[in-house]
Amino acid sequence: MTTIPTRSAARQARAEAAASTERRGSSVELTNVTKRFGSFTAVDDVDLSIAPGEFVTLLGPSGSGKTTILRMLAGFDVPTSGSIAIGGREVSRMAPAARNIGMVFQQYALFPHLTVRENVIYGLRMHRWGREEREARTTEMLELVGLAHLGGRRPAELSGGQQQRVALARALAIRPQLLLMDEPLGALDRALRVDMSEEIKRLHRETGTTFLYVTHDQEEALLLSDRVAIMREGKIRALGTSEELFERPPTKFVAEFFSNSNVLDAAEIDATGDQPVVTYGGRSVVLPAAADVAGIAFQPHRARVVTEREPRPDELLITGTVKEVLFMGMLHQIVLTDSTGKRLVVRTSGEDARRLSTGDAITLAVRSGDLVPLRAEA
Amino acid sequence: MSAATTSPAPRSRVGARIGDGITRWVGRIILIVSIIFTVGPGILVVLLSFSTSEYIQFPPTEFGFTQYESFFTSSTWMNALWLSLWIALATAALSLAVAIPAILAIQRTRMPGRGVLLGLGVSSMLIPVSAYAVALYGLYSATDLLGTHIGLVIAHALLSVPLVLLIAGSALSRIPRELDLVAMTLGASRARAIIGITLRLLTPAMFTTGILAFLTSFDEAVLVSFLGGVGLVTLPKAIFDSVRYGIDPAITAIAGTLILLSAILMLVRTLIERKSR
Amino acid sequence: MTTSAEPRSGRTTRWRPEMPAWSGPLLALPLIVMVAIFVVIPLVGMVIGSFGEGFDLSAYTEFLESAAQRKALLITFRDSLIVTALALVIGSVVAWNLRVTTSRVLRAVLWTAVAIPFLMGVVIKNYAMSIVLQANGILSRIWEALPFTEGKINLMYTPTAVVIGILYSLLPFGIMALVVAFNSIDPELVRAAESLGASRTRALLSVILPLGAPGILAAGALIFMLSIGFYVTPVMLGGADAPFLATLIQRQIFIMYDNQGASASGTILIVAAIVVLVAAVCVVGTRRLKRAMS
Repeated sequence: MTTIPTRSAARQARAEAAASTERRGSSVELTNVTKRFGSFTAVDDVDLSIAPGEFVTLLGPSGSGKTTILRMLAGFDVPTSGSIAIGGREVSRMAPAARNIGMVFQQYALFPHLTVRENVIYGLRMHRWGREEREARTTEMLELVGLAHLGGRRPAELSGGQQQRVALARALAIRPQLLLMDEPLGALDRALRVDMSEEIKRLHRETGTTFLYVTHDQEEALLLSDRVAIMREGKIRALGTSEELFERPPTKFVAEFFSNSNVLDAAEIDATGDQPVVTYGGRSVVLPAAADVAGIAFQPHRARVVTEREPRPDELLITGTVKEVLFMGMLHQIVLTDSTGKRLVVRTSGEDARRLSTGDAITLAVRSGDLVPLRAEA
Repeated sequence: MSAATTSPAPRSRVGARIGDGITRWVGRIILIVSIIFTVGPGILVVLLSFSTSEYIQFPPTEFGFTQYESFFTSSTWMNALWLSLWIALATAALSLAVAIPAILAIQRTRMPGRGVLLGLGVSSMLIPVSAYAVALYGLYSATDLLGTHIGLVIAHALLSVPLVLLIAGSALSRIPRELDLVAMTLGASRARAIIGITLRLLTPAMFTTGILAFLTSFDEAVLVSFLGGVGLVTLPKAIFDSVRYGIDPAITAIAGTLILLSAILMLVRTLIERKSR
Repeated sequence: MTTSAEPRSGRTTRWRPEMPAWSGPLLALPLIVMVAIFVVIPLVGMVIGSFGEGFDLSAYTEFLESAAQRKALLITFRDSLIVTALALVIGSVVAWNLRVTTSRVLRAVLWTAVAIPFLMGVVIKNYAMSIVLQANGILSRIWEALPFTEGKINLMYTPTAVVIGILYSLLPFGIMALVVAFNSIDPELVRAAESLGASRTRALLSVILPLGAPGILAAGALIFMLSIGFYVTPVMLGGADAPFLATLIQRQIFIMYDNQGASASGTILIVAAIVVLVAAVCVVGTRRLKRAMS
């Protein structure tokens, strides 16, 4: 279960006070965007609309096309067909310099021969800011990322987290309408990643810039974004807020990849009639109406371990054999194989869990309301 | 698995150990001999350069700077030295001017035939040099380039260009391409990005390869012999000619100086390389 | 108040992430011109020139008829092979030691030893060698000092001297190429082999050698190709008694005014180099060769 880091109340209040309400971000519109490299289609007819100031994450395994979309937005690649608009302006034929974007990479891409300060000021010089404004803005940015004291250092002298912050400062200095981030936390260790995620979220709030973030890490996507677009093989498979996609994944792929859910295949479901009837282990349960049910999913923590007490009528029963019981502090995690041989994961804090061990028979109950109907893959 | 894995008979083990011992000693001898072989003559020459006797004598009985004096006061030697220096400098400049843009073209554009170009550019290093001398002799005698400064500079540059292509090329490949693109997202024009970022980061490599090109030209003797005619007497050529008529102790002083000069340049090169890492 | 980054006007012309198509040829033009005029044309001219007017093979048949030319041909290739063999053996020992030694001192000494011949120009190197090898030189003195030998030895103007001289120049190249070849070999393999029962010798020969074979071949090809073209060393240390093709060429151009003959000699060298290169590429593969040469 992902733990979202909590912040102290004081910090929260301060952050909210400092948050600027002036939205500087622009909208982003991808229409029928396709990118082919030879015979390989990296991005396949993608449509995406991002509102000004939103934080959207493109999430997917490698090869899903998410980085290609980012590169096309930046101008590092040109779409084979389709149009890309930033702030209402068609940009696919526009040089990167004219697009008013900022970009942050996994490998930082800081200029190694320039100091931190010189790195941050670079964009301002290119955009011909006056000397005083440049200096003031650079100082402001360095303070924003907490690196004001390191202005004279070279990138090679900084840690990974610090380098990433310089990259952020540099990208944001020119007040871009859109900030593109390509797996920026990938090279950092776990603790640092959590800290930097907070930083990024804070920067988003304080600058109001539209953020487009690319990652393959489902936790990051959950943590940071307003909306998540889950991509696979060049297409967007699902789009919604983190909560929506997590609690009610629309397809089997999303359920498994993003939502950590257990998935039961369509074979066990009778989808004829107005309301799908799920039959499993000899018991049937009616789902709330949903069309095109190809499978059902439920979250590990939504299953109860039942013993002799009669299960309620609206609960689905699953019987199986325990394979492993893991103690996770607040919860027990039970891995079991059900009667069809499928591997299921359950998390529970119940007393019954504690008494189970490998090889025991186990019965789970899941309320029909917690069963999420899954569409077939688009 | 069969259980019949017997350990080797004691006799062959002893044999193997003796074999190992021999190998080890042979290896050690080779190592020592090769160290003496490579280092010895250099040290020898430097030592001899301080000898004051009229003929080569080892070990030197008296020490002094007489050889160095005769070197630095002789106009023939000095002229040869200056000629060598200036040709080497011109060679370095020409090699860089030709090769650096070329590696940009080879690595950063999609120009057709860039692989072939790299191969051809490097080929002059692989051609047996005396064959190349004959070929150039043919061209130069037909175009009246024999004995000209420019002809020699070009010839030397052709020997150095492969070094620059390979070494600076390798350095360029280690400079991430994204840096240019990042600079462009920050507002730089493409030219500004390439010159200000990529070329700027390539500067240490340009220095080191420039030094290598300089040394290649400075020490070169074959092309000078064939293409220099009577007029172009670089230092190596002068030594070469002089040696064929007998061993002149003053040459040890020259050798000592050249070794020192080269050593300094190599040191500078290493320092630049260390610094850029 | 400064304007925030306003997009520059007029930037909506067609954008391509790569450099414009015309920039490649433009940047490469100096090199193209230089190579075309000063490498391709002279070489082609030389090969053509070796056939004289029309298709005249006389310059080549001369190699079969004239004893002097046969000698130069033979000595060039034979001694180059000897140099290559010696350089590979010695170089492998040094390169392997560089790979496995943990002693900083030894490493520093070896690298210095490799670098020093580079510091001396080819002429100085041979000058130093001549001092060592001549009748009153070091080698002779040592020879005299040994109890079981008599008289002085004078290696000057012998094929042996030339071999030693060329080896002196090319050994650093060989060592560096072999270091590259051995870099991809894990020294742990020797220990692994030993733990399975092999002696050190056996381990080295049966494990390391096969793994390093491509790199060693590449290094060998390089050394051979460079060796056959040598000029200064054969002239200074070999004289008339141990001529290389280069010595012959010098006579052909400056003394006998036989440009056709010189061209033929040059062509022979080039063909030999190409044959070796192609053979190496076929056996080893182009990528390894390129790596060995950097």
